[in-house]
Amino acid sequence: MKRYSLIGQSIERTDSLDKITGAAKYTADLSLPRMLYAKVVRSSHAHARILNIDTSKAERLPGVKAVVIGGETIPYKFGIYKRTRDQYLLARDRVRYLGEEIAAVAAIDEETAEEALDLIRVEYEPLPAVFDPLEAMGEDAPQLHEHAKRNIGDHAKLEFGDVESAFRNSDRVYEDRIVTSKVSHLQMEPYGAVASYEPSGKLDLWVPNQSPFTRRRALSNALGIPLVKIRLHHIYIGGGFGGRSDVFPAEFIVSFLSMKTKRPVKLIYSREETMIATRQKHPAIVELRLGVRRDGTIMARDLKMILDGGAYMSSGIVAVNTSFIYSESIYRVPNMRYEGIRVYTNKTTCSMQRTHGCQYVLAEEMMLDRVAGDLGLDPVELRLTHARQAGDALPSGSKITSFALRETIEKAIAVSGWKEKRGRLPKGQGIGMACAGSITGFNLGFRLNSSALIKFNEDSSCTLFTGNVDNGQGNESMMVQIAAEVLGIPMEDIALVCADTELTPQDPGNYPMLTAFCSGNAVRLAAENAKKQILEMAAEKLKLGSSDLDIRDRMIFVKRNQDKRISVEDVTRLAFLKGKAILGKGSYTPKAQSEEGWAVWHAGKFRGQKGAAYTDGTTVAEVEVDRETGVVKVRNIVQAYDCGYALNPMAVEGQWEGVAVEMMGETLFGKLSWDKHGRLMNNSLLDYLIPTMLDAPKVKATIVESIDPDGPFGAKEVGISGGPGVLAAIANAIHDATGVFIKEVPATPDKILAALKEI
Amino acid sequence: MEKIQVRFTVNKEEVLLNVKPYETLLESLRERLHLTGTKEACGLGACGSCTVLLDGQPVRSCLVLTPEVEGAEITTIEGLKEGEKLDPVQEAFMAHGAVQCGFCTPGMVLTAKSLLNRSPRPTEEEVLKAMSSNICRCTGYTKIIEAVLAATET
Repeated sequence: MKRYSLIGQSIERTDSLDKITGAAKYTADLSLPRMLYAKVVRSSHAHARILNIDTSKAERLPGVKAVVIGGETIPYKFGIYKRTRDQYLLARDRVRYLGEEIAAVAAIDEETAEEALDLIRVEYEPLPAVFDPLEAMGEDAPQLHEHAKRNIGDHAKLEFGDVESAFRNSDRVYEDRIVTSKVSHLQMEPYGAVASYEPSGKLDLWVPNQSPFTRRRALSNALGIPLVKIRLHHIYIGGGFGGRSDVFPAEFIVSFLSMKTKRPVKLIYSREETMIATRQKHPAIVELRLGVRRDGTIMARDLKMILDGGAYMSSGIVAVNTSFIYSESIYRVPNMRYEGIRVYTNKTTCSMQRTHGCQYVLAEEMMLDRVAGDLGLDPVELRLTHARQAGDALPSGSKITSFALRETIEKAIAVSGWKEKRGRLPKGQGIGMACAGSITGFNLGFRLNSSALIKFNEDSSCTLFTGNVDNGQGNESMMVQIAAEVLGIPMEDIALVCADTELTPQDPGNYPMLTAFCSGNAVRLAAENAKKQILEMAAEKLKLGSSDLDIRDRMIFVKRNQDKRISVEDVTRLAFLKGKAILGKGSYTPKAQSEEGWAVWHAGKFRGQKGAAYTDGTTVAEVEVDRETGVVKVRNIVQAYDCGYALNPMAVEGQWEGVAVEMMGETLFGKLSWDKHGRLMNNSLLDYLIPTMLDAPKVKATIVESIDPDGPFGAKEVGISGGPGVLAAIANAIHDATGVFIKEVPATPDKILAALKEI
Repeated sequence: MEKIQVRFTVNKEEVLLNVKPYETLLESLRERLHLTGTKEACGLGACGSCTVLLDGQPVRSCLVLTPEVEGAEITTIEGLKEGEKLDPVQEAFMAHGAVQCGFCTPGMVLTAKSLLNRSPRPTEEEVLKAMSSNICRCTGYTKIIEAVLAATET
């Protein structure tokens, strides 16, 4: 294995110092001269027509500088694709969930803004609302959107092979139905936005995001301002987890108010608003059938998922289809059918949420354990037998390049002590496993491109420009680490400018799992380009070939004669003199089906390379179940995942450790609940439960490296893959401890007790 | 509404503020003193992101009214380092990868600091108990616990 000087090492992240000293500025920390404070009027009905909005009293309140309602704005509907545009960013004639934005005020301080809210009168005509996805698909259900008959926003249907024939020829057919709940992303940073509109027509914005470029585009459309006049600035962001990749009313509102008042406007949501009015994870009804031979060979799979999408589409269209992607990439199943339905209901909109496909993985991984138990097979062997491998061609036309699922299974089994524990743990304890994975990128058309620029100063230091955005994963540091490795200069010599739509080139954003693969490759290419220029300039000076030279520690040296050297500083100055300033550029677009577009999913012609690479891995969980109280304690989790290559092992571990605890919370206690009026009942941290340090299990993250041929230094993806298997591993451990397979998550104590009673 | 004059120390500097009776310490620190390192994440005292030290004890600044801190010494995250030198807890957090998005970090660090001031060699169980009311969504806590235990060795 090639050794690098920085890559592959657990280094301190470049952003840690600002964060550890309190210097890092997040959106709510911003203060601009003459800044106004905004507050939002929210719908008190889950479904209603808006008959009238009277803002006159609010406008007259001293200290209120502007008020905005939907009717004043361009009737632009937001959607992540042209054909999924279904949401006005400020409701116009109708509201579709309790908490939806109707109007907003900007005032000299927060108190005045809040007082103004009380003076705004909204007249509603309540409409019948529907909260259950199955009811919503009924013939007589209230219709949320004209274009979506029976409230079906998206319907994907795919089939490969001959599924029914394979079921007929199976020795056993297993069936199950699993229900998962609505979950909050619950980023620690509440949502909000700051906008500042200049008289010149320039709009500056700071907002937590997962892709500043798609944000800019949508705002350009919504506000009628050209792209070049909108600038999303870099800002530190307190978590994303898939819930911040859309455009939200907050940034639309502050932009509009700033345009109206010609003053900066800040709007920060409370935690309650953040929980009600941003995004949540799709609850799913998963219906799964597996047709199996007596020897355990899986002949066929029939998977149906009904996703409860909430009021608008958002990235639900991606969520519907990603479960299929994962269903074909982990195990070899020759005959597959997938049906995914996303339904509109009068609740908070659901989006992508780390992790995609976990609902399906939960169902299938429990079923594999059931199959193993039934047929007297070893659950580990069963998975090893079916595990996909590098080079596999997938039914839908994707090809797997690097993969190491079998190795991750073996590692997870070894590290967790499975062989010593399975079947031998004390009563009430259990150990379970699950396999899962992810994909880097998916069809985003031209947005798949990332580019990077490097400009050198007159010494050995430079500035790296990348559109990549960091929500806390360590993306910023990763880019600097890659550039420093290639350039042969220390990381502290690199100033980073990132996630700024005016200063940095386009980047897909971090939500398509492309940061390492795509942004990292663009930075690598830009650094190689700059290095090439430096070496050519040095070669000219030293009268040698540039292939004789290399750079390390700010010095260019001759490979065969390390005494002969010239400093990078000398070369950059020479370059300026000669009119060939060192300016590196790199541009990268990963291969993923980009020509045909998402319309192809619907036609069932879902063919082509789905993403640049696939990731894979295995989770083993150990639990202890208290049969009196039904409380499940997760004692240990082992995460053995293949990330291609660990650019920064400490950061990689941090991702798998973090997602393990996040998913554990979803498995056992996190659940959003609505009352019959569509009001979110547990909208604060006092009553929506997330794991604390006392709940968290010990997590051991083990890195497996398959060295991807196309990823930078072989790296693929980290943030998602360690997630989907965690719910299933815990569920299988619960079964090992109690003999019970759960049917629903979260598996709260009452559910566990009820299930125990039945056996 | 009549304002109340409050005199106290923040990060070793004396401060004199005129505040509304119901103004919270969090608001005063962030809005008046522009010390934005202390964060608001839940507004209810449930998450620990707003933790500051009041006379060395960790408190939820979102639940403390500024008039209550008359004469007290407040330490925020900005006040932890001595000149250019970072506190050992800060060093440990960085070295062990315990900082991801950073939003919970100031509260975590201050809670850890006050624990170590009280109990320089805590057991892991003591660390868990003392810090269980600081919520993190990114790290899964593993590296935070490692960092706090490592800081005890310095």
